[in-house]
Amino acid sequence: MMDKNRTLLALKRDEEINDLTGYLTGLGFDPVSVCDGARAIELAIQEVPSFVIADIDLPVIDAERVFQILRHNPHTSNIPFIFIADSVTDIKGFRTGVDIFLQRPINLDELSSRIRQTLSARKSSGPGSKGIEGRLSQMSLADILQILHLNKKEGELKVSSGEKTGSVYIKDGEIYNSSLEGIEKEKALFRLFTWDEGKFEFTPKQVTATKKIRSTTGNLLMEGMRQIDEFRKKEDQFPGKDRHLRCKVDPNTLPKGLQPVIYEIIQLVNAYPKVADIVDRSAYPDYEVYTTIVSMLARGILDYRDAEGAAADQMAQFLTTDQAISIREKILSHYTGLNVNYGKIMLISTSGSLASEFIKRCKVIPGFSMNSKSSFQQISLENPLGEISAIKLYGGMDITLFSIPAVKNMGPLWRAFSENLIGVVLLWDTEGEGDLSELEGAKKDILAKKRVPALHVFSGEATKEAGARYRSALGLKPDEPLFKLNKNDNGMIFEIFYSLFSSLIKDDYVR
Amino acid sequence: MKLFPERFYDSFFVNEYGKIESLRASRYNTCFSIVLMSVEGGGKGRLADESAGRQVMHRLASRVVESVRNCDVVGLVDERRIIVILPEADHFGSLMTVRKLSRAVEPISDGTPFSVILTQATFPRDGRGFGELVGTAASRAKLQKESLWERLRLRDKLFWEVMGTLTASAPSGYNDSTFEAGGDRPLTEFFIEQLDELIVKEISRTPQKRGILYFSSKKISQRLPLVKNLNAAGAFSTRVFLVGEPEENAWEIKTATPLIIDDQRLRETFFTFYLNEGTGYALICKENWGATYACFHTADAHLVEGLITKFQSEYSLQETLG
Repeated sequence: MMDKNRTLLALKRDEEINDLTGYLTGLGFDPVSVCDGARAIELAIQEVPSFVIADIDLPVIDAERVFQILRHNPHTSNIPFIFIADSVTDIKGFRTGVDIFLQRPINLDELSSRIRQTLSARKSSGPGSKGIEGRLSQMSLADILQILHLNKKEGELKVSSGEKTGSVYIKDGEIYNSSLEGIEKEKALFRLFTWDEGKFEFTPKQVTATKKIRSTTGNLLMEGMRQIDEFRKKEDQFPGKDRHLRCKVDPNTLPKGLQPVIYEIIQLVNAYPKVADIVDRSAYPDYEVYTTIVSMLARGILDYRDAEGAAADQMAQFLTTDQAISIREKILSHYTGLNVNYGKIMLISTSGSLASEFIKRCKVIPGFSMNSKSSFQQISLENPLGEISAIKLYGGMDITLFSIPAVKNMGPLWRAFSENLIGVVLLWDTEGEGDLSELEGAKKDILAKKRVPALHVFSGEATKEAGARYRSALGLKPDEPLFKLNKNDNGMIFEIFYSLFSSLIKDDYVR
Repeated sequence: MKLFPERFYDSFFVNEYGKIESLRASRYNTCFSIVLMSVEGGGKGRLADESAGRQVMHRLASRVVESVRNCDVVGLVDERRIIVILPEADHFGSLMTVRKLSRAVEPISDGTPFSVILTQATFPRDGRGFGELVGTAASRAKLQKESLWERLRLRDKLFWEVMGTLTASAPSGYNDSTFEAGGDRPLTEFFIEQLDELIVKEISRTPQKRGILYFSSKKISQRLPLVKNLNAAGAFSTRVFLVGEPEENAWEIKTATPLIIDDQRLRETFFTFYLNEGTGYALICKENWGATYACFHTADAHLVEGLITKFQSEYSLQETLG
């Protein structure tokens, strides 16, 4: 049994024993002194002291060895040691923060403060106050919960990362509840699962919290991990936290029997339009809230009401939602495969500068963006090659513009990269008139493999005779339009794309 | 007399089995593949009327039955074609079966007037009915016959002989073509790098799609535009290999595997081979005097696959196609 005031002085110098005995008695301790290591071990085991002050050069068994022997004994392993030596000595197993090393001459004030420090540290980490502690980078929360579950532990598991702290309450190894910044239950637990860095600390104690989580620990862990994996995979499809939403339908007209999360989100959207607020305030786990929002956006129950939403409105003026859905469905129905999220329009032009000019003018289309991830920004602008821009259509669907020169020896490019092709735009100007046969050849070759609408666009002013000449050279049918793209005529760009999309929706194109 | 081995079925059976397999795959939302083996050559008459033809078909049937898995179904389509139905096999699984069968049957046709063409098709991407799949595989066989790989008999050459033949050839079709870049040519050397960038953009556009990309360079450097593009592309399923000599300073790229190969020929000729389930593209560039390049490129997936197979085999690399 440990005596709180009992201290063991193992010193070989009598004068030091006398000085320290008097000093420690004055501080309220009950010092017992010995002159050799063997006796020190014997006394420490008989009556465990609150700390040991030992001269490093003890006779019979030196202090380092005494320290190691007592550390390996479970009854004495927690005793702090205060080593006294004439010079700095390396002590094997020295526990920084627990043991103290003092060099002669001894400063009694320093000794007193160090003793207080070590005893208070020991008190806060005394037996029973903490079960397990460690870092999340070494052991994940899921692993800790599994261990606690298997050992049927009871207590509170505190997890901290940065300035945030959360708790998981466990009884008989089952998770009773979890809390994090005012959030409770599965939602808080699944958020804690996402923490990779931070500390955990399990304190065994009686849990009086009400059982708010009904699932078994095994199911919770599996579901939590699944939701995190799915969340990470689909993160880019979810709306940004700063986006604002609005409800497009009257909540009273919603049918009964839908998932409760839908009703909750609609109520929240009316009060807190920001996505981050909706996700935080919903009682459902984050992943469920995000997937429900995405599905409600796709079904037209919700809508964006911010700047991006304004872009969508602009797009709606260019293409109605029905038309956008039809184009999307057309692409999805004809291209099997996982997550088809784009359709490709191939831009085949007689010169790079012409293609570049055309793309620049496409900027007037709502939702149009240039592909900025290029190592050759300047070259890509002058001689665009491959995917150079995209138009955001609807429900995560992109229409990409893919540029290729109209020369026969570039044939392998349009053959190899015509996946998800939904249209071809053939572009030429007066200078490129001589290459019309190349353009015609490219068109025939592409259309022989993929049935897609082809549009013919001449850049510049064309006389009636020239127009007739072009029509003949490109084998245009009488009802096929020949677009003339004049400078500053942005309306024509809309007409070109509108014609392409209309053909795509109307006819049995693609494939 | 029993002409064919056990587990080798007639056309009626394989046809019925194939239809059931496609129904099963569509109901359970799984995939399956077929491999079509077409015997070319011999007289113009029926193959069954020639004793040599009968013998070749018989030996092919035995070898195919020996080479495939127990769950695969092998049978006749007609007198010149054998079909293998591969349950649960995806596009890349069927490509590996084609490789395996190709090796197994090669000695049989050697020294005979017959040649064997192996093609594959996978449900559902190549067709939703069994007949449609056989049709796709048959049309691929037709394309394969026209492929440079078969026409120039590249199969019988070594990898670098093939590379030399291709860069020296002058095809000018839409499928295979040559161009020159650098110097005072209309196409600059950046055009070649733009082509590589185009491929990386394609990969990152459909990151879930499986495929394989071999990219060779004199030196694998983190300053290469392709490496920069790969770093910016995020995670994807295509396996990317960077071939060449290493740079002095160690660096790491998460989305690609460096293949350190010290070969003089890689300093003169560099290549990009890209193959996925929908497409194939290869670009081979030979550097000439004055930083000019003679380039060959192709969209012929059979040729690309052949190049990858030869490259993997001659440099003892892992046999993988995605």
